[in-house]
Amino acid sequence: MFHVIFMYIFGAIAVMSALSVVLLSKVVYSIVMVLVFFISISAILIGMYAEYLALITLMVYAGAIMVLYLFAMIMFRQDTSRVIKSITGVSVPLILVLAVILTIIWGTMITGVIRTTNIDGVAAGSALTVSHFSESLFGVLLIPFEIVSVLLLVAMMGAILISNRMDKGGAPRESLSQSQSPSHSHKR
Amino acid sequence: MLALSVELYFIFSLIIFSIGLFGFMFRRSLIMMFISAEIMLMAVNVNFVALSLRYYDAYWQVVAALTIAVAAAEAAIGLVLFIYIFKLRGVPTSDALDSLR
Repeated sequence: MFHVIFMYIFGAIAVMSALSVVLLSKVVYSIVMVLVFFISISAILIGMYAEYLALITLMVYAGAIMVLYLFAMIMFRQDTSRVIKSITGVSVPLILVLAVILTIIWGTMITGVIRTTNIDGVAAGSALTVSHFSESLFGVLLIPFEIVSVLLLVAMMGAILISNRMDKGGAPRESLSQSQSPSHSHKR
Repeated sequence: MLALSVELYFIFSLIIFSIGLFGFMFRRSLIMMFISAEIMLMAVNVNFVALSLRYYDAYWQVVAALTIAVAAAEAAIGLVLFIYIFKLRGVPTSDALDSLR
């Protein structure tokens, strides 16, 4: 019962923060709301007995990726791409239809019309621990693990290579910058 | 009666994925498109962990962890390309990428 309330509270926080990420106009506000979103997602993962994954989510997403986005955001001027007013005409009936469909599904699940897979027993019993995780990581999924490590190395090398080429002043090629339209030609 | 079920998590991740897809389609700023992609990846991760609860197998948790690693690589490369495009074109929106039109 406690887990259900936990799931509903943090699920509501996650949905609202994701909505505000998409709908807020300034990028800084969106990034702060993404932090709230990731923290609530990791709380949900703790409620699903995936503590190690919740830890990884907090460290990698909230700690590393979002700071990276903030650093990238510093580099350009404030951009508020307001597209919300162009979609409000379409989105109101769409949101209504989606709300009706989701209410029907959720109501049938709660009242038991649709038979759902109850996992309260699984959660209350012996939960999956980090040792299960590592047995699976270094057992069945060893080759994907190695491939992902090579992928991370290649991504790091690619990022360094592209930023090196940018530093040498070769990034805005003369032929490219002359052939484009004058509205895009202002450079810093 | 309230009970935890796998379908509850599936619907939750469906909602989150739809919000991310909406942001990916309707925001013009490239950085907001990347952030929406991260939201979609997080929805997929919640789905995987729900599968691991359903089958009582840590396999799906490991798959979610590998997805997080791929998302980190995507963020690094994406942000570098993003800054490159911004230096090349001067505007941080996806409208700048129209040289193939």
